[in-house]
Amino acid sequence: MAELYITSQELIKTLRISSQELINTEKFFDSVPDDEWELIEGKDYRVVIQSSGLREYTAAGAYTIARYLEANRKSGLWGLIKEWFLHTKQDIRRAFIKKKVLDNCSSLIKRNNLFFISQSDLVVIFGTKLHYLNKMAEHTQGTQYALIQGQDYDVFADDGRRYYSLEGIYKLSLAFNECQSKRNRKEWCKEVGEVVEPQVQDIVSQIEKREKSIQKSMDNAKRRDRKTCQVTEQKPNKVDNFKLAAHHLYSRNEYPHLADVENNLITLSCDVHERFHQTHMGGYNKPCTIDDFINFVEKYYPTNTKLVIWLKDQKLKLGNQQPEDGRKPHVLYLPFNRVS
Amino acid sequence: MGTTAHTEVKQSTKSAKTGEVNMSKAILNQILQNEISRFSEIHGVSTASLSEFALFVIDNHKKKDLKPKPTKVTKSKPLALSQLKEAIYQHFKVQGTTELKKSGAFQMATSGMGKLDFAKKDGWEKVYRKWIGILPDEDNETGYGCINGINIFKYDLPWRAFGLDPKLASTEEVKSAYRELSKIYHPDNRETGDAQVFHRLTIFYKSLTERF
Repeated sequence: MAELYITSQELIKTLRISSQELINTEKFFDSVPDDEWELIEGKDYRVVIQSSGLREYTAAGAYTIARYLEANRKSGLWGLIKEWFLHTKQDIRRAFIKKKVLDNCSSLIKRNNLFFISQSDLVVIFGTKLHYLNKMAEHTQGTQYALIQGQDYDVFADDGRRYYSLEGIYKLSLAFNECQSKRNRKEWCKEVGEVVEPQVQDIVSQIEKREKSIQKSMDNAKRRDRKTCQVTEQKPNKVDNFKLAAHHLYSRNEYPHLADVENNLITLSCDVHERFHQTHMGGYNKPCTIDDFINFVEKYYPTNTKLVIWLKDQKLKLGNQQPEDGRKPHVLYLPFNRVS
Repeated sequence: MGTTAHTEVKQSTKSAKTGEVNMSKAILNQILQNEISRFSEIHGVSTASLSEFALFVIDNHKKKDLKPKPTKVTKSKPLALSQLKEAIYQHFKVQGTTELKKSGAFQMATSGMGKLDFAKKDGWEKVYRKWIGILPDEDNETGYGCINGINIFKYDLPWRAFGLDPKLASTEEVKSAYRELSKIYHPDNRETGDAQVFHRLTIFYKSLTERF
């Protein structure tokens, strides 16, 4: 982990001193060279604003100031500094773990009301190797609180991979904490068992928000198009009450970043929508782009030239788009029904 | 048959009291002696044994069964709410309920337990069972779902259910314990079989024999 600095503002808050007291202390340290009280730039502090000389302190620098203040006026400051660095280090480590979870849990899935994450994602989150993760699982099985199939781990038939539930991950984190010898690894693995659940809850909440946002954009697109099929220019009425669909010009799964963008949506009758996906593209699961839809209109509805112009305009607005890696979509782009 | 036989038995008892124990055919009436001879021939048992048994029956058939003295089961006192809380605080290294609810470890550990009601003792007991151990008043519990002294539906303790020590038991022993319990709980056993218990035991078995 990179060197950790405490800002001057945080230092005075932690030491419960005034800003003037800190300035005076700094002046004292700088005034008499080569005495007992020294603060060295680069080692004890760094200057963040050259004009004012505002500093940020390393742990060594902050301890030196606390020691000086304790010797002269107050007591118990050493402990306050220690606590600040411990807490801040823990917060930073937790932020790192949360980022790892966010970037490595595209396997997240809810089954039987439990959240599961795949073994391969867990290897990355714990920062370990597969054989060691398995060793920890074996270790857990040798305790009274063994991992229970269906509750703590499971192998899902759809991909044949082993998944661990959050409770299972907690049990593994206890095993890591017990078996690891290096302190930093011990702390990392212990905290994996503490931050995954809140992070998963935040991720699921974001996926839900995204789902709502997509639905809202689809409704807005239908309103924008006056609830009329933009290909046939027909509107449902009491005689022909056909259904309308909001079609994603760049497909939702391959271009998830455009899924809730209104410019990426167009209103179609369900018949036309079906014809495009099934007949023109060869199935709803086939990825499509705006160019595919332009080709479709030009081929099957050549008289609707206005629509082609509108589509080309949308294409310019949307810019050059690249599909996401379909093999490992980002967890935030998972369909809501996978985690609900 | 009873009356004649009874009269003669009384005589035999009296003589027994005076020290002249004589369990001979003479004190059994003819009907009984004939029946003893017939049984002896059919089943190849000595007439003396049968006579002795007949006398025993005549002598004891009206006596009441000795009631077994009820063994005093000393059930442990249930833990008080404060004791439950203290054990849980200690396990999750927190000072109180507010801190506990905020604890990431606690959230992880209870993520699959549904909504826990901490206003009631029940919520605390559920957490205790899951992460601390067996509640004293539930240790050596008997009744439905109880095997080797624990309720397998309340506790995720497969080793205890199989009566094995996790540090010492081999896979073969796990298999053997499962096989023995299956003989009792497999639904094919019409007398003691139970699908739910068997399903739970099978999950325990699969978990303990899983190759990670």
